[in-house]
Amino acid sequence: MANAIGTRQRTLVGRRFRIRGEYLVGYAFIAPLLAMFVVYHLYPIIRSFTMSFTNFKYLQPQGTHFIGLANYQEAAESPYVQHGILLGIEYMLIYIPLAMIIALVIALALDRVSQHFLAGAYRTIYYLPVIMPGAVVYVLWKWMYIPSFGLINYVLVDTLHLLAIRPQWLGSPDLALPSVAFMEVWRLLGYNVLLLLVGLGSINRELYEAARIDGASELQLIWHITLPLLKPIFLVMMVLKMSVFAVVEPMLIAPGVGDSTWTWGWYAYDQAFLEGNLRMGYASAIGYLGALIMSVFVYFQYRLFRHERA
Amino acid sequence: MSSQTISMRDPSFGSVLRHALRYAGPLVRHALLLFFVVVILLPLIWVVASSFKSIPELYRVPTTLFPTEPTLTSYQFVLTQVPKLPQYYENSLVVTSVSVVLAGIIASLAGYAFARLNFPGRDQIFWCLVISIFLPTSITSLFAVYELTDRLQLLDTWFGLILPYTAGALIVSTFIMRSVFSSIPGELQDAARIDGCNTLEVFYRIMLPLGAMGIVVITILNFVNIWGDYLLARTLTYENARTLPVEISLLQPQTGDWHFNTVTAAYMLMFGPAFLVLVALQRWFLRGLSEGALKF
Repeated sequence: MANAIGTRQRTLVGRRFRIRGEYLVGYAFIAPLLAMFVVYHLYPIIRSFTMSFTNFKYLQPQGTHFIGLANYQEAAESPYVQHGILLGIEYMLIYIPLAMIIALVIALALDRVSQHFLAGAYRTIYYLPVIMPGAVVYVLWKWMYIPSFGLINYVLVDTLHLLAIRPQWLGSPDLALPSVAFMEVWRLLGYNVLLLLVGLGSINRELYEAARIDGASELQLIWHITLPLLKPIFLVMMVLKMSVFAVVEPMLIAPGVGDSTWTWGWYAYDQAFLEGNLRMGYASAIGYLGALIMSVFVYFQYRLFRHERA
Repeated sequence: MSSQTISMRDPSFGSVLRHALRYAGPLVRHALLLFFVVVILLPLIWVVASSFKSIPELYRVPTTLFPTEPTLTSYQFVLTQVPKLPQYYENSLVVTSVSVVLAGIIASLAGYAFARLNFPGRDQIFWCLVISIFLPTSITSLFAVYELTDRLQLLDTWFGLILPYTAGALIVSTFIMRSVFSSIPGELQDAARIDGCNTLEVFYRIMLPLGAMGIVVITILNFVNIWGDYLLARTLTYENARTLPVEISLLQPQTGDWHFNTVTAAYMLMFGPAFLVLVALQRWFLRGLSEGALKF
């Protein structure tokens, strides 16, 4: 379309400088965006990359010099980083399936609710936590996980009597990471449901009618029509969610006991902003090591995705 | 499968089963949806209820869901204990609204250029920007942004937050505005051109009014994200420019005088008003998000 306008202009005006002028207008319109992009996206990526090859400490910048891959070697050998990467993988393996399965079940049910008002009400309620600031949700859940008077144990133990003991949640080394993951599932449930509903909405309703006439049951409809057609958006969401491998925020606000939630992302933040002389060079190396591992995950997921689609 | 074979052999039994299933389906569906409504709402009800409880009632075993003797003492406590509350409010509101407006202006200009203007490298530049948000370097970039903000002497200032917030909101906003402007027929632009409008006039007389819906959507989207941001505000501010999410994160179970009734009262005072506004605007937001998601 834009090209068509360009050619029309050329035939109408037929002068080269006029076209150059039009180009300049285009660049002028995107100039503010590009300026912000260069300063706050591109420069930080390059700067932190070069930082990762130096012994740069923020509070002790004198004597900063190039040290090659020493930071990367130290990071790869550090038990904290290794532990953090394993925790990142564990978090990803708990969070992604849990979030996706719950969202899928809700979306499948919600997609069949034909009353507009009811469907809208459900969607609005599921969406409430998404518009709350993340920090508010994490502090709220930190209080809810308190074993004695927290809401979770009040419901599970005191009211429903589902558990005989009172779990320590964030205070237990084994339960801390799943507890953090579940609070994130709760927070983003509405968003995930919304994305899946968009995918479900694009499925042609006539397919269901045709299958119903052929005598298929509701479950068969879901299994043979809905799920295969939903697969592309489902897989795209899975790939995008792999960024939780680098999770930091909930670990800063609602950390588990001891080292139970020290993911590598948290550890890099800790090294850069909270510990000693703020070893930003080393922290950048941890960050790029993590980013490299994440790219490998995304690449394989992408390969799988392409294979599935072909 | 089994119901199908039965119904073929014995039509009467099949029709009964099918009848039962017709009602069982919606019943199971709504039971499931209601269960998750409770899961979502219970913590929120607990927050509101707890903020009206007195301390003895808060720790009574078994707990009460609704306060038996509602009191406003926790609200009084918050107002006296957090004397800087108005300042944090001001910080959050100023930083968020300026960033949202800036991002809206810059993203509309760029979205229009990417959708409707003609210049070499247009699509290449656009897709480079889009791909860049998928780079897994958010944490490491934060270190360099901190250093940059410090060098510019903007640490703990409004502008030190506004610039990175605006930059962070720009790419997705531009993406949405580009799709909005692409869906406006090109003939309108041509007609305005022939009537003698220059590009800027075409932009604000024709395209902006027609793309108003997109601007509303990115405004709400960016507001939610920036208003709720914690990591950047925690890293780049320490006292004067501190925002509400950072302040609320300090109210932890082990911090001295704070109890759950006062913490929830702080929630209500700090985030209640904005939360209600956002709930009222949710319809727009949901529509925008689903449209954005469709185009992605």
